Amino acid sequence: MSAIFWLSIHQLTGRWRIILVLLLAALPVGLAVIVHFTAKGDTSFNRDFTNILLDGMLIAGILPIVTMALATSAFGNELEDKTLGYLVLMPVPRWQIVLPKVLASLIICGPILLAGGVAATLLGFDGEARPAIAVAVALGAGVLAYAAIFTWAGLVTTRALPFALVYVLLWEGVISSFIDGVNYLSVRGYTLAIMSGLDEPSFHALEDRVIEFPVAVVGAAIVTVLFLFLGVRRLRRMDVP
Amino acid sequence: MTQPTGELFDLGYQHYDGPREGRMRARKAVFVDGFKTTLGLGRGSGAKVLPFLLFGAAMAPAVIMAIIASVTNNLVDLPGHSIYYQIVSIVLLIFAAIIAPELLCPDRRNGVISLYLVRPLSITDYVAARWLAFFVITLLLVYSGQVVLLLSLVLSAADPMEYLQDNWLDIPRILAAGFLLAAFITTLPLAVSALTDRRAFAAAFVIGLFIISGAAGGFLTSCDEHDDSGRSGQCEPITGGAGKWLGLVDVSEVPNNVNTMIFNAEDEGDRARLIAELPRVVPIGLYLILTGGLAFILWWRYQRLTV
Amino acid sequence: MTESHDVIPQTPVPMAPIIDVQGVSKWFGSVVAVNDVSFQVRPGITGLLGPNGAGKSTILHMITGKAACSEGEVTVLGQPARNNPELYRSIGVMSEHEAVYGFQTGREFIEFTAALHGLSSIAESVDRVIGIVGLEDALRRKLATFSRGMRQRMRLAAAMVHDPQVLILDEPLNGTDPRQRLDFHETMLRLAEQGRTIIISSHILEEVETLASTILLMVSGKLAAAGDFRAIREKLDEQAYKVRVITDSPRKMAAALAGTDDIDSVSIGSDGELTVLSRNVTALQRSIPRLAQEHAIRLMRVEPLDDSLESIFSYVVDR
Repeated sequence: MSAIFWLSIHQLTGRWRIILVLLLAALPVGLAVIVHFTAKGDTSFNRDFTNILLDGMLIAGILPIVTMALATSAFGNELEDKTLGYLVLMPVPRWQIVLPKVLASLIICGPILLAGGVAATLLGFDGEARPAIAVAVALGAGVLAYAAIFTWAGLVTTRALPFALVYVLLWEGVISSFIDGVNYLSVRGYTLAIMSGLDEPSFHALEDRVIEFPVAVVGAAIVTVLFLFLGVRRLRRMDVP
Repeated sequence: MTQPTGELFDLGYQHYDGPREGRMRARKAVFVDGFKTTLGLGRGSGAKVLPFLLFGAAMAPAVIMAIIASVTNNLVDLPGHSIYYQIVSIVLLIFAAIIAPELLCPDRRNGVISLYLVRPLSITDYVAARWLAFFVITLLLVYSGQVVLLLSLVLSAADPMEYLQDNWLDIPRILAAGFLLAAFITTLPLAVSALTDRRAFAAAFVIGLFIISGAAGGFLTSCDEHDDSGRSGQCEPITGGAGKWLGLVDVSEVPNNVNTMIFNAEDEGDRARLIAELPRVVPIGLYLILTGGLAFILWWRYQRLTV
Repeated sequence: MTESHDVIPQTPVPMAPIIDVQGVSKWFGSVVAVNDVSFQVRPGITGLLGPNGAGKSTILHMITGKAACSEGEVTVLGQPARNNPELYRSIGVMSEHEAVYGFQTGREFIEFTAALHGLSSIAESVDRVIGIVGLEDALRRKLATFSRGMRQRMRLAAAMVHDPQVLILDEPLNGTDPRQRLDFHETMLRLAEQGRTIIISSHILEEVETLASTILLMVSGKLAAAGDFRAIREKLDEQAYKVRVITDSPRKMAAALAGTDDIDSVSIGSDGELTVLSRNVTALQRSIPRLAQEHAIRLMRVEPLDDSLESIFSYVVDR
C-alpha cells in the first residue's frame, strides 16, 4: 500500500502544481493582511470576513477547486495514461489501491490549505485561537470528504473535473443559496456547519445559513466513508482499460 | 464472338493534380474547424449539449427582458442593454472557460499540432484562426441577444421611430461594448489554455479565477453596516480609500467596468459605484493591459512551442 | 494369506486445463467484441492470432480478470479470473498498452511491481529478471528515456518478476528488433520447458509459428480455429493443398497425375514446375513416387506450398 501511496504522491506533485496550490492557499492570508492594515475596526468586519473570505472564497472556492484538481487526477491520470493495470493486476485488495490514492491527495492539499485558512483566520480575528482551530477542523473535514468524492469521480469518468466544477458551482453554489435544504447534502454545508458549531460566537454571521453541528459531523463522516466504499466498488466492477 | 476486354486499375499511390490553394485556405480551414469545435458540430450529440445550453442561457435574459418590455410598454424603467451585457457575461464566462480549451489543448496533448505546422501555416496563423473562430461565435452570441432586446424595445415603444431617433446612440454602444466583451472572454481562457495541456485544468483555472477574484473583490469592497446613509448613499468599504482600487481585483468584472462606462449607466452595485469614482483611464487601462497582456502570452507561448 | 495393498494402476487422467474459457461473450452496447468463444489452454506456448479488431485483447482482458464477461465464464488454475486478486500471484501480465510511469527509473519500476506482489526478496527478484531481459545498463535511467524496444523488455521483466506459472503477453514483440525477438524466443522456450503456461498474442505470424505449439485463431470475435496449426490446415478440407513438383518431364508427370483420383488439378508453370492441388495429401505422397517410377520420370523436388501459418491465416480469414 505504501508503494502506491508514494507513487501517487509523485504523480500528483509537480513544481508548478505545488506553487499554484501554495499561491491559492496564501491568497486569503494576503487579503486578510491587506484588510488588517486598512480596516478601521468596523463591526461588520466579522460578518464580511466570514461570509465572503472564509465561505465564499476559501470554503466554497479554493478548497473544492484545489482538492478536485488533485483528487480527480489520482485515478484520472492512470486511466488516461493506461497505467491502471500496473496497480490492478496485483494480489492487492482493492481498498488498498483506492485508499492510498485518496490519502495522497489529502496529504498534498490538506496541510497547505489548513495552514492558509488558519493564518487568515488568525489575522481576521486578531489572533484568537478558537476560531482558527474551528477553521482548521472544518477544512480538514472538507478536504477529506472532497478527496473521497473526487477520487471516486476520477475512477468513474474521464471528464471528472468538469463535472466536479459544475457540481461545486451549481449545486453547492447557486442552488444551495436558493434552497436551504441542499446544505444537508453538500460538503460546503458540512464544512460551514462544523466551523460554526465549534465556535458559534465568532461565526454568528453564519447562524441562519448553517445546519446543525452534529448533523454536519455525521454527514461529513458518512459522505467520506460512502465514497471510499463506492470507489472500491467501482474499481472491482469496472473494465480496466 | 467478340474478344472480352479487361482493364487493370492502378490502385497504387495516386498523385494529386488539383489546385493548391495556399495559406489563406489553410487559415480558413483552421478557422472553420475551430468554429465547428466550439459549437460541437461534427461530433456526437453530447458535444452539442453545452454550447446550445449556453446559447439558450445567453438568449433567455434578452427574451425575458423583451417580453417585459412589450407587456409593460416601456412604462417600467427597464434595465437596458448595459445590464444585459452584465448578465450575459457570466454565462459567457462559464461557456468560454469550458469550451475554449477544446480549441487549443487537445491538439497539443495528442501531438496533432505538428500536423498543422507542416502545412503552409505559421503558428501565428493557427492561433489567430482559432482565436478568431471563438471570437466570432462569442460576438454573434452577444449581438444576437442585443438585437432581440433592441427590436423589442423599438417595437413596444409608443412611437418606434421616435424611440430610434432618441436612442440611436445605443447602436454603436452595443457594438463597441459587445466587441470588447467578446474579446476579453475569448482571450482569457485561450491564454490559459496555452499554458496547460489538459483542458480540465484550464477550465478549472479560469472558473477558479472568476470565483476567487470575485470573492476577493467583494470582500475588499464590502461595506460597513454602520455607515449606511441610505440605500443609494455612499458606502464606506472596510478598506477605506483603497477600496475602489482593490475592487478592480475582480477579473470577471473587468469587461463590465468598461461596459458601464460606454453606456454611461448608473450601476446600483456598491462595487461598481466605487469603481466609477476612479478616473476613467483606470478601468480602460486595466482592460487593455489584461486583454492585451493575455493575448501576448497566448502568442508568445505558441511561438515558443516545440513539437 | 497375506493381505497386500495392491497398487491399482491408474488410467492417466488428462491434465486439467490451466485456463478454461467457456462460452464467453463480451459486448459493448450493440457491438459484440467476443462471440461465444470456448477453448482450453494447457502448459506450453499458445499463440493467439487474428486480424486487428478480432477480439484478441478483449479475450485476454477477460482471462486476466480486467474485464467482466457479458456471458460465460473464465477459469484460471481452477479459480474464477474475475475479482480474484490473489490469483495474480500466479499470473504475469503484459498488457497491450506500452505506457509506463515515465518518471520511474528502470529499477524503480521493477521494484515497484515486486513490492506490489509482496515479494520478500525484492533485490534478488529484480536482478534475476533484469538478467533475463538483459537490461542491466539501463536500470538507473528514467523510463521516459527508454526506446520502445527497451520499454517492452522492461515490461516483460515486470511481468515475470514474481515467477508466475502463467504468463499472458499481449503483443510483446511490438517495437522490438530481430535481435530482441531472438532473445525473447529463447526466453519463452525456456520458460515453457519449465512447465509454465504462456499465451502470446501477436500479429507477427512467423514468430508465433516457430514458438507456439498450439494456436488460437480469432476472427471478428469468434474462434475460427484452435489447435496445432498443421492439424488445422488439414482440417480445412475445402481448401486443397498446393504441392509443387519439379521433375525432368513435367508434361508426362502432369498427364500421369491427371489420370489419378488423388488430385483436383495440376497446372504447369512456365518454368516447368507443376502446381498440384490435392485434398488427399497422404495418397498423393504415395502416388507421386509411384508414378515417377512407372513412367521413368526423375523427381527433383516435391514440396508443400502452404505449410505455414500465414497461409492458414489467410485461408481462414478469407473464407
